[in-house]
Amino acid sequence: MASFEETGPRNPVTESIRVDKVHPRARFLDNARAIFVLILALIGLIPVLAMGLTAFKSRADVVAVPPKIAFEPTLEGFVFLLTERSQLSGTKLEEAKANADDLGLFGQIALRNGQRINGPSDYVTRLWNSLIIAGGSTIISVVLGLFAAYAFSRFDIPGKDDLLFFILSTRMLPAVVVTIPLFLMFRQLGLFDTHLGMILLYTVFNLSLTVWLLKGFIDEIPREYEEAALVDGYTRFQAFYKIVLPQAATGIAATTVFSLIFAWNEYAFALMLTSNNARTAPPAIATMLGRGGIEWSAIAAGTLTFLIPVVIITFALRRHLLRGVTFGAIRQ
Amino acid sequence: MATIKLRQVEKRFGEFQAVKPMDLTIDSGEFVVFLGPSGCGKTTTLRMISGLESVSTGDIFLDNRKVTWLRPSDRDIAFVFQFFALYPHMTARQNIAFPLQAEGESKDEIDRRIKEVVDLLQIGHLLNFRPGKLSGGDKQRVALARALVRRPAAFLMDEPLGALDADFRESMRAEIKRLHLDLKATTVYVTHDQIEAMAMSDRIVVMSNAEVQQVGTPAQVYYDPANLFVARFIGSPGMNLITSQYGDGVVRLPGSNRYAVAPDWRMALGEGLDSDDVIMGFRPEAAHIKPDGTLVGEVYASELYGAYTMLHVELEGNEIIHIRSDRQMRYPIGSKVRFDLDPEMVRFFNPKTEMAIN
Repeated sequence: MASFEETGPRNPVTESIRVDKVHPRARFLDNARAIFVLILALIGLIPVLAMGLTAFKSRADVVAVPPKIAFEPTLEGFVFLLTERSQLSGTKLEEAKANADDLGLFGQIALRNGQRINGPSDYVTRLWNSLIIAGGSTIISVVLGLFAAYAFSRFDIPGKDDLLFFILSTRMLPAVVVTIPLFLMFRQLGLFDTHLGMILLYTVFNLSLTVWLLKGFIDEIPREYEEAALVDGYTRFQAFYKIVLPQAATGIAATTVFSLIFAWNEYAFALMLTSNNARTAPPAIATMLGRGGIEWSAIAAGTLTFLIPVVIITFALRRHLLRGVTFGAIRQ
Repeated sequence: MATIKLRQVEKRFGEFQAVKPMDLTIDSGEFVVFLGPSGCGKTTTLRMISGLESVSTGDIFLDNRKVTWLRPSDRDIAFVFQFFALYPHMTARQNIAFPLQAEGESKDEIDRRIKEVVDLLQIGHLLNFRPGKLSGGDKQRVALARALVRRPAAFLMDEPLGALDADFRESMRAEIKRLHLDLKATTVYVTHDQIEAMAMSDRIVVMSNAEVQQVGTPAQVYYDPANLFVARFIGSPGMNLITSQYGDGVVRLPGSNRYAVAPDWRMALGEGLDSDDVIMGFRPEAAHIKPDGTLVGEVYASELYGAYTMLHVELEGNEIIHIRSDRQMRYPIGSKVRFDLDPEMVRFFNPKTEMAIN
């Protein structure tokens, strides 16, 4: 203590690095937790990994037992998935092989199996449909939900609680129960197998989610901010646009991802209410199983391409999501 | 700067009456404080003046212009919030510029006006920070700057110091007072802190139970409370109030204490009372302890406040009153003290109507 006074204080301790002082039991528990989480992650990720690998395997490698970890990657699965091909034989095959240099990457791969590419497969359309329907319904339901949530959060609406419950209740019936009536209604209205019909359907289903989620987020934004903007000379809509919207960004991002994932993954309605024109990817992948022999690599490739958009969006919004998924539990 | 006039302004939330019909005229350049316990309707009244809350009945005039149904943005008022309400996603500068942008001012004009308020409030070093990085006092300075920059007709402040630390509060209080003296801007200020009200205001509007209890200067409110509520609410501790009997110029306190009423009070008491019952009131500093005092009590507790000692004295009939005495004097608990009252500072109330007699 005496020396402390003579030499003055040492450099302030800003962080502790005394790992050696951690009790062995605590260290063991920490490790045990880490291992447990790792196992859980593996259980979750192995199917994804297997699918990712399978997508790049050749026909022979797909069915190899035991499954190959190291193999020569090929885009065969993607070619099968994304193109419509016809089998060549005899002179036509020779002819095609002679002109192989003119073919693109996919064409050459197809040629290796003695096939010629006639055009893109249905799956490309299906994926495109998914994009339009999921994207469209997400945008509409988030925008509508935002206005509704703002109104529910800020204004005295007669029967507010009942209305909110009513909105939530649209989510209570399982898809199985409503598909048949919906199918009949859609057929009458000419909405069956149309993009508009599917966008409407997913919008309605997502609205309950978006209204409730966004209301929670907007409730967390103090009214004073808008009131300040109101006395500062702005209209309510301007205050909403300039003040509420930037602060609700987190919540909007989270809600967007949630409703996008629902619309993107939805299977049952898509199976029942679309046939060809507006069919989305999920039922299309399932029907691929049936067509003359199971093309595992094509299915895996289809599932992979199907996953990618959601992953990209989630990744792009990850910073907002981190705060968003806590549902505004953190007050700034 | 503008006058503010409330005419029979009332606010109801369904069955609940938040503000009973009230009349009030605030002069141009006046600093008026709404003071009252929480839930008394003072903030609701302020919000009605601002337009953030609609009026149930009655009318509001700003500079003789009827603004009852105008939007807040069209009333030319500035509002300072208790929790500052600085836009978190903007820097201090952007916050201050925001109201000017609404008016569509040119960039040069905005820069010039910002510089003006920034110099006035000396907040130049804060401009590039977001509100989250500022201390409570600095946030409120920026919020004041945002209010000032528009040069509004009136300032409305809703407990602007309520969220600040105690030491900040005192210096900000002085700053706001100085600002008001410099700008001579009509200001309505809501608080539940009577020290703020006494220190800052030209006039205090004391509210309770959705009703105006008294409107007056700080001195009027303190020395001449209009009713028992104001007498109790203003001052810490509040006025000593003793339920007594009156007759023939003498107030008979519980027990054997008697107080001879000054002659000029007799008439008023005779007219103002409808029975013998009267409530006598006096501030702790109105009592002077002296050996030959006519009133007597027993020391119940003694608290040294620093500048003075607050004695709790029990009178006969278990009435405990507060007496302010010299800090040097020591009064052992249980000892008898005798005191006189300054006749200038004794007030009387009708116990039935609870109103002051004068």
